[in-house]
Amino acid sequence: MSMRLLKYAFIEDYAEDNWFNTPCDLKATYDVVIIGAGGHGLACAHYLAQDHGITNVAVLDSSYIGGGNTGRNTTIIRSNYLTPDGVKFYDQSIKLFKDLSCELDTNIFFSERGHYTLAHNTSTLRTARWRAEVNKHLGIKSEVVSPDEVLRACPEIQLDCGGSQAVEGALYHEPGAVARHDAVAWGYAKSASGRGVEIHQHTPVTGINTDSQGISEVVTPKGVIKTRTVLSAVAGQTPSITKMVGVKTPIEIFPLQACVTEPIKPWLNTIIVSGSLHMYLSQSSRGELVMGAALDPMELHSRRSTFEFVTGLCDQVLDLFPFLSGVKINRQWAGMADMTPDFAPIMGMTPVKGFFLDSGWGTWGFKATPISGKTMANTIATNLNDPLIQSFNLDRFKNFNLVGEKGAAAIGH
Amino acid sequence: MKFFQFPLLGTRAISEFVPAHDAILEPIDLEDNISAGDWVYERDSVPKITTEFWYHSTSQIWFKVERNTGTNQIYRAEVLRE
Repeated sequence: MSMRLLKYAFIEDYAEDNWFNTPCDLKATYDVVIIGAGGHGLACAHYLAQDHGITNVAVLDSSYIGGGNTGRNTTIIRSNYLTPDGVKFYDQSIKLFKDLSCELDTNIFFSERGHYTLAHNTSTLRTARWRAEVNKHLGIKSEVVSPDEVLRACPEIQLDCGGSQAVEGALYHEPGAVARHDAVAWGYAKSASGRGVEIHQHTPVTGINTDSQGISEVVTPKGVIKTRTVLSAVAGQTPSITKMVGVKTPIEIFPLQACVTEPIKPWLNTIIVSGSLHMYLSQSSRGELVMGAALDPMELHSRRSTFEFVTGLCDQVLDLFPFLSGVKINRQWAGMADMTPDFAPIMGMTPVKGFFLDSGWGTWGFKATPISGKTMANTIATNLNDPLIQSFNLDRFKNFNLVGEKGAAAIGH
Repeated sequence: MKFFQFPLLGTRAISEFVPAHDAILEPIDLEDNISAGDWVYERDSVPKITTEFWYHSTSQIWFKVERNTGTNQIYRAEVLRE
């Protein structure tokens, strides 16, 4: 470290301000209490303050900012979904992501790279065509491309895939991107905090009380908060929160694991996904290969990672990229995914007055961070479901009116 | 890798099994104040001890397995008989 840099450490004037407040005590009353200080909860707090002037807001988290699924995903952003509802929703998210660094005055390292979903058989190719047509109809840049075009974008790929499942084509999605997930959470925290929102880390919610008018109190070990509005924006723990207010959901929790390799020189300038091989791969700005696989097969409320995951995933990745056989895995981890039967989120108002849900984000939550925050803030401020999230309401399961997005999931489940 | 002692099979890795969901209850009377959608989709996915059906594909045997979904501890496995 240079002496010039070192001297700033001892000069108080040069110390950078804290990005967000760390208040010790809870106030007795808040207009809105948000459970979960991940990207979604903090984005909602930011848009509540910025778009609607609601700043008497507490964001509570049982752990630290962005320590849940915000910090555990593989940071891929795309809008090549299967249903018009999904496509429109995620397209708005990408538009917000593009300007987010300026809006939050925080570099989120947004990097548009294109996204290839490989098809290894006719049925996957058919779904790719279906997605491409729905996307094009809604003005999204997606198209089915030949194996040769995949090879042009990624010359290192082994298209015969070890001889068993040759690549027959791919769905190419030009707006596919990655961003730095921690920066997204911290940027929203900084902006919300600057507008007066309080962020209480290490403050778990242990109970939610209701009265004849709906939500009345939120119980934490640091005290009881009076409020009429609660948003649950927890990932992987939604059923524990909804149980406190007697709301039933179809959400089931399954672990989702991911890993990164040691940093290597840049060679992968796009995002490669294969549903048939249960893998997705991109290279971070640090040079690490960020890789993920399918969900673990059993319901489990735990963030342990397993040896079977990393060996199974590497086996699949090496079918496509044999030259990576000498590269070491650096870290592996797991998150708990809120899975829904139709692979679409559950958002908006609930049967309990004043209790809002931003949940069911399964394996597709990070890419929706800005738009979920914006639409949930609008829903809370107006007490009406935002038009963009109408079809993601909890009632759809009661009425068998599902939003079938399973075909657009990055990986087979 | 996690192992467990299964009847008939002995000690096996749990990755050899295909887990099905909770042992689903018999169909309920839908007139009993619950919609078909609720019955099909509602879940209570909080950490708990639950009973599941697991299938061992190589031996084609179904098992009924009691497991803690919070800790992944398996308490009991018995052969599922009709």
